[in-house]
Amino acid sequence: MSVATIQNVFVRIMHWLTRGFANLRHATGDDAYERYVAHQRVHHAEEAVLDRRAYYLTEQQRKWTGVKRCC
Amino acid sequence: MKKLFWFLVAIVGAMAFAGVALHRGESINALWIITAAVCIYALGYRFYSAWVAAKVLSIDATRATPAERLDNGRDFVPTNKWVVFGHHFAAIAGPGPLVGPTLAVQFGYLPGALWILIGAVLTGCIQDMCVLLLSMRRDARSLGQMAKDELGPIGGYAAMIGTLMIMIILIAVLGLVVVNAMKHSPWATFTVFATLPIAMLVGLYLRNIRPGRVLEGSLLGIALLIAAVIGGGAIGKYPALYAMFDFEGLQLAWFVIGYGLIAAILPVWLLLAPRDYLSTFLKLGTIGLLLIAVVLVNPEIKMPAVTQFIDGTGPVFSGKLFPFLFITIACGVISGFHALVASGTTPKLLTSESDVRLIGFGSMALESLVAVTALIAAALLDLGVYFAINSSAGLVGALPVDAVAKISSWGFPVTVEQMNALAKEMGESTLFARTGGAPSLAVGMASILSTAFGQGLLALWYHFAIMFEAVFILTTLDAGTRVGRFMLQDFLGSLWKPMANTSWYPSIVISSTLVVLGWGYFLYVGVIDPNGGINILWPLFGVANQMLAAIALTVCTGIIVKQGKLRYAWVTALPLIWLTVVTTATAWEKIFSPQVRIGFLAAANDMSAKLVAGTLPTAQVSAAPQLIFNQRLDAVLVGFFALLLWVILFDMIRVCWRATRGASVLPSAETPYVLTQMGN
Repeated sequence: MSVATIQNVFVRIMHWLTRGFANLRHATGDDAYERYVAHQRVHHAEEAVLDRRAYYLTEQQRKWTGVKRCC
Repeated sequence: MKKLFWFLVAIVGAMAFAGVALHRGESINALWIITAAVCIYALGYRFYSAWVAAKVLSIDATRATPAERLDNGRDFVPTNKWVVFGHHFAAIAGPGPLVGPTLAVQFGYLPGALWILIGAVLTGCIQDMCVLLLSMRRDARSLGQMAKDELGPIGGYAAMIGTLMIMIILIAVLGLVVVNAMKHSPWATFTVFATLPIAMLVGLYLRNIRPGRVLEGSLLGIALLIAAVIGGGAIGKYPALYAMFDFEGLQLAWFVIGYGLIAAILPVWLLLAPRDYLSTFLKLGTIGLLLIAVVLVNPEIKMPAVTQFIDGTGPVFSGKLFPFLFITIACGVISGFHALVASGTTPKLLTSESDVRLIGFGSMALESLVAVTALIAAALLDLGVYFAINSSAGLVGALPVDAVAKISSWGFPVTVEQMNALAKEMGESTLFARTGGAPSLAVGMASILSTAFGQGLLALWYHFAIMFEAVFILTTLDAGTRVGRFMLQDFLGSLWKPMANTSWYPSIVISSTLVVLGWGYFLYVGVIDPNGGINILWPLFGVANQMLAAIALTVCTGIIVKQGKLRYAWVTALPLIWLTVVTTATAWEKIFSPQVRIGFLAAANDMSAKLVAGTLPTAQVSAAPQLIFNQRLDAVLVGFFALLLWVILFDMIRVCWRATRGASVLPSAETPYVLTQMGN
């Protein structure tokens, strides 16, 4: 195998890993704040953006005000 | 090619199903059941759900969903369908599908397996999918709101009262399951107690140290939880520590009640939210692990297909196969509770209406597979062992010698030595009369998991399984108490305005206390009743859950008929009729059966007669008046559930009658069509 092929494979694996990690963050809500900031920039540019902690706390409060878990 | 594939799935499924249903040998391989299940779900998904989506629900992928129209970057967010699938599955799958099948194994593995496989596809999956779509078409409105909008105030009130009632009974029965799992088990008690400071630590981490870094916080928490399971094993070496965590059932019940009160008042970021992250990861991880392990180990099921207890004399819970099987296994087949999630969080996330099949039908099919796995894990045990763990002391005797004699006399040999050896392997002092399903499931899970991943770790896997069940039972307990609190605040607010303010402290404390008192009462009586407990509470819960499902199906049927699709109404009407029959029959038996172990009134009368005659054992005399009152209260309650169902059923029939005759009915609350911009 040439160096270029190995490099290519390495780049691919790194690409998959990064994508997998991004998907995991998305699925678990780990990137919720980044997505919120992006959403605010596009849709509500005039509004102030909450900081990380304030966003996390208001989100938890909102999430747990309805039926979220079953038997 | 595709046709050939589905033809093969059908052939394999039919063979596996026939294999399971007709098998009458010594033991059967678990893989038969898993294969039959997977094929049936796949066929149901591919054909039935597609047909229902196209014909009955008229799913339209060009229609903009609430997530798209109302996108606010928070609760309404267009989300990848697999992410929604994960969230929805994590929301619907709780301890229910694990406990119900474990209890129902007393009839043998076959009745439970058949009901789970057929029932899920024809009833539960359809309910979840229909409610999800109908809610999406109404800006993600709740079940209660839809009932009110489409049928009228009666439906709305029934759904509200039903939801509150089911919450109370559900929390009580789950509390009892946890109490029974921790009773005189210092290892389990230590581990479950340790989950509280661990969750709070994660809560502080996620708020103060690294705000919102859910992955880091969860990894930290799970590492600590596993350390707590391992650390709990060391407790046995220190007698003082051992004694500190060795509690009676009643003491533990008070702990759970006190805990529920505090947890309901604490801010969500401190305990509820972080523990939910942990429990979700644990749940998905453990269920995945268990499914893999069952396939790898491919255990032999020792349980007979059908036992003599279909005649209603079973020790785990009393009552004949019909209707009690269909009440005992509710979650995992059809659960009314799902209708609350399917009309709450989930419809705000779907990008396209066509995802409804995957999320609604698919998640329920997966939950049903979890129920099948729980059934397999419980059916692995020797029947004698299974009954020794799951029969209450009041029924088979408090002494091990009496218990084994009684159970062996039913034709299921078991010895004290065998039970002691098993308890020792699991790191417990005893496994006799550990009712509630959690311990026997944990024994089954431990034997599968340790065979697949690490021989000799039985005790660790056992306590891991107990911790895993306790963690999400406590989450359900907190979350349920909060939901009950909000509903109560809403109601009390209509009487006196300030109570409606959900962040006003006195209102929070008063309403939380009332909810906790509600379930705390049933938990307390469940613990002090030597014969009752699970035998009383689980059927009550099953009836409540099936009643809520029936309310959801009523709303669905009503809307389908109002849309002029009377010829397709059977899709939801047949499950509705079945649930009505089952719920009514159970309520009837629980109220009027002359048998003391089944009929609430018979039990109350029997006990008061004994009390008057002075023939009651002295130990039971002091609690007798409470138990008598409770049995009568339960009779009223189960009757009320059935009545509520009939009221809303007639109300729906009235609306359908008017709709089909062209008389005026409430207008459709469906939001008008908007063309999607997604993917354009």
